[in-house]
Amino acid sequence: MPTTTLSRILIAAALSTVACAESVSIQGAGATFPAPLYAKWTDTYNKDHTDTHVDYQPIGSGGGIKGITDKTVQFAGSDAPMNDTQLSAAPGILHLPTVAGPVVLITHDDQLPSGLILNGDVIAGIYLGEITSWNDSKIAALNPGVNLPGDDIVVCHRSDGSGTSYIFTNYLSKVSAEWKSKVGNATAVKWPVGVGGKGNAGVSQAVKGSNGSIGYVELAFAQNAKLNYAKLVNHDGKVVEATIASVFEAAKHVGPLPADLRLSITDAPGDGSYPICGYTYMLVYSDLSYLKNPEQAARLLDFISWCEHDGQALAAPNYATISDDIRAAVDAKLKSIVVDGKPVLSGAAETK
Amino acid sequence: MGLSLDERAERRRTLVRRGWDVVMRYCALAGGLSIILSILLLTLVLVYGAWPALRTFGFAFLTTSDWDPVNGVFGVLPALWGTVCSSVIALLLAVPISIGAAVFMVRLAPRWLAGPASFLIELLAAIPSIAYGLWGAAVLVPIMQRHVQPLVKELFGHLPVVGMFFKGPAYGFGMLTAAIILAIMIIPIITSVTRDVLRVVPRELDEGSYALGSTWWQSTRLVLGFSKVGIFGAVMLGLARAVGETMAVTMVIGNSDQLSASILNPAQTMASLLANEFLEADNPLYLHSLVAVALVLLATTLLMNAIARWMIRKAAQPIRPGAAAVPADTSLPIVVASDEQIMAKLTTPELLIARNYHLPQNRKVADRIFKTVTYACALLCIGLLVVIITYITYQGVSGLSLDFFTELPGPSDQPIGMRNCIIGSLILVGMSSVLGIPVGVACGVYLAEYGRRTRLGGTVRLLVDVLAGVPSIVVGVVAYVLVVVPMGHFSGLAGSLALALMMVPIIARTTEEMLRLVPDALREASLGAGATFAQTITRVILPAALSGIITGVVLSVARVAGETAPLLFTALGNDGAIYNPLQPFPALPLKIFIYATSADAQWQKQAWAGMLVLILLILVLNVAMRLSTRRRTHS
Repeated sequence: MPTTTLSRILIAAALSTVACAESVSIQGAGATFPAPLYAKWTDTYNKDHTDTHVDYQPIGSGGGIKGITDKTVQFAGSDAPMNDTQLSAAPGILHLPTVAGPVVLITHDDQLPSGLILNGDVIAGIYLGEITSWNDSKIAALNPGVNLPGDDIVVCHRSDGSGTSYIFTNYLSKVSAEWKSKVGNATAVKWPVGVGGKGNAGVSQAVKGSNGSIGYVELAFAQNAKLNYAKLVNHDGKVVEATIASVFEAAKHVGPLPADLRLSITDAPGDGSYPICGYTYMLVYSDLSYLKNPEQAARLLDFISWCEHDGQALAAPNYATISDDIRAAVDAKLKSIVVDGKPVLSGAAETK
Repeated sequence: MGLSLDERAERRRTLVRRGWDVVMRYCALAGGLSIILSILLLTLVLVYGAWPALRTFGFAFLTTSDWDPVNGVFGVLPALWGTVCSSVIALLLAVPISIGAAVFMVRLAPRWLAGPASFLIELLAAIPSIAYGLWGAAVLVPIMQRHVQPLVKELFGHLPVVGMFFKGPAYGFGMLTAAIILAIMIIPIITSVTRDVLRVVPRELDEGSYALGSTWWQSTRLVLGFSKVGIFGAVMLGLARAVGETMAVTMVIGNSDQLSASILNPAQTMASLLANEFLEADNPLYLHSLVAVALVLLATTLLMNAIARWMIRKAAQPIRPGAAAVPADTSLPIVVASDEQIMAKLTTPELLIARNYHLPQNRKVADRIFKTVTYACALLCIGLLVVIITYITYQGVSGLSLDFFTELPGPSDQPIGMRNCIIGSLILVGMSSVLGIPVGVACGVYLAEYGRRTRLGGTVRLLVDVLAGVPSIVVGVVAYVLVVVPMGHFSGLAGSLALALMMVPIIARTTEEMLRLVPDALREASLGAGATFAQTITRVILPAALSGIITGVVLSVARVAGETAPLLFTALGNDGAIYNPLQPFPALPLKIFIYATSADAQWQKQAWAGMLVLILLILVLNVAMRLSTRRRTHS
């Protein structure tokens, strides 16, 4: 009896596959940070383009990079740019920034007021294990008139490799020479002190669960977990709060764009720039000849191009859109993508 | 030529029957060999992947405690220590409670209670590990930080020598917290299998013991001693689960690479290290080192199994009263329930001492104490279950609506649901059952009936236990390398292969334990009545052990139905209603994991609703299987 039910389900499944075989399917996988937005993008795009089915599965940036390297997906999402050794395993990968977001320092203590101000030096000190108490003179100097508790600082960090850690350690490496030499910048590092939580959810949970704790997560997680997050002193010495506007400000002041678009927008100059933020990327090959169905290449690029233009309107309130000069650079990259030596996009396609 | 028609037909029938015997033998052997093949393949993939790291670091990989991805220095010692320590503590906590709960169900509980109680405990096995992790981080960790850790520190922290295991600030996260979560997770496995083992102990043993004037507790001890090998098998399954568990441990252990003796400090296990870093390793040496961790984990499981076997063998020896005793080799079945052997058991020195020298008063007190302990164990198990299920229900109910069952996943500002994931999971588990159950049962039959005393049988048995302890993420990655990459895309087929590989050892081990407990008298009677060996197995022995085998199947289905890690890299997931086994495939645990770890409030609600539905699905499946087999065994 169960076997007949199963075979019926399987037959039904097979039939339904035949039924939708007409539409071209495109598979993406990777970063979790932009997943809610990408879900909105694929949903909206699929509704407007019934002949295409785009699917994105947020299995983590590393998973996305593995997938695109092995060509088991057609595009990948990643919160950190691929490093040189990764690129050498997947020659011809293009980085296409889609949206940006801030990383915030969340705190939890019965007596710690909200609106705490921190700077790069202090954050590095805390994460190096040199500042161990909330009433440390360095923290007090940044927060005059605030009554700081004497509680021990419980340091929380990511235990898994992540783009968030990459952005955070990228910032610390820029502002602290000691951090750069002792720990460094990567998706996973050897943390000198602290408790590790898996994922943004794990870190928010760790911070919430203990008293006197500090951790770093993406803004949306701090808001969702209703945790206080600190204001930061930026490159120009101004105190800024993490908002979509202050991230956009940082992205604008990033300076000349690198040719491969592997951007770093941490510790950006500018009065309103929030210092710890980064881009998330879509990764595709510059030569799509390997795709068995040439139609797939056209649809894939049409989808990405749609995300970089029309899709940007859906980015608020949790993500900062890309700036005009980055969009121009992305358009140029998209136009350069070829199948069998011929560009996939004609001039009209991407401005649709 | 000179044969009559009847004789020829008779001869043909004999040939056919012999043929079936041969077929049966080879099927069982194939089941056993498939385990060896799986482990070989797994080891080959791992050794190939780990080789560069092993060549770079050599033996120092095992003995150094630096884990520094930035500078490319890797040593596995803290994670190795964490794995051994956390699983040993988990066993110390779980084994007594599980045995107590099993004894309660078989020897104390009235019938109307025993059924539902054991049923509820099997439900614990169905809770996805991500739910344990989230519950642990949200509920257990604060309790540990505020109450348990300060208390433990005060009680033991000042003692000489022992004190060093109970030092450090109370983070809430740490080795002890992880061990407690692990204990909760392995209790259902050990309890269910032990229950089935105790159920088939010959009544004569119990009755004989009572007849000689034993108290309830004294005959319980006798029965436990009698079932030692079966219980050991149950404990090994629990140990395997503890060693290989990733998600739940990762969320409560604190994930620190610092080596520390204190069980209150944050730590790391090899499985949690893999879960944390495997998918995101960004340079070759780092990745090779992580594969080497998987290899070390495999070796550790093997070693822990071997040590446990050796210990039980040692412990088993002194009780044996001479030549008539039950075989000392633990790999041999103890259930050879002839009258002499039962008598031999009944006259073990211990029991004689108990009967002759203990004052009646003391015996009664002991009896009462242990009865109370047994009640307490059962109550604790049920209590834990109620607490966790209540928590999941409380979190999940608000996300449940009709949409959940009729809509597809999508952005959170629309009506969304998990229709495709529920169907997808059912198909995936169905496919892996079709692949895994026959192989598992065949392997169990081989171990119990053909390979009992052979060296090959011993090897297969050990490897089954090792396979059960392979972390699900390693299974997933191996399936990715062997199936997904050659095929060129993710697929439901790859996912069900990975799940099937995880089901096989659980089914094989439970089948073996259950078959062994079928009295030899039954075999002899069947063979004596002229049945072939194949007929004896399929018509007599397997039906006799069916209820226990079903337990194994239910446990294994429950185990894989909630698994995320092996699917991330194989089935991948899919947001449409597309159920093509050769394409990315939707699955409930995948969506639950992704939604549970997102920042989106609506998605998080959906995740808890998904967990609730998953548990209910397992519940329905469990009931259906029990009912259908009950009907069959009665008819």
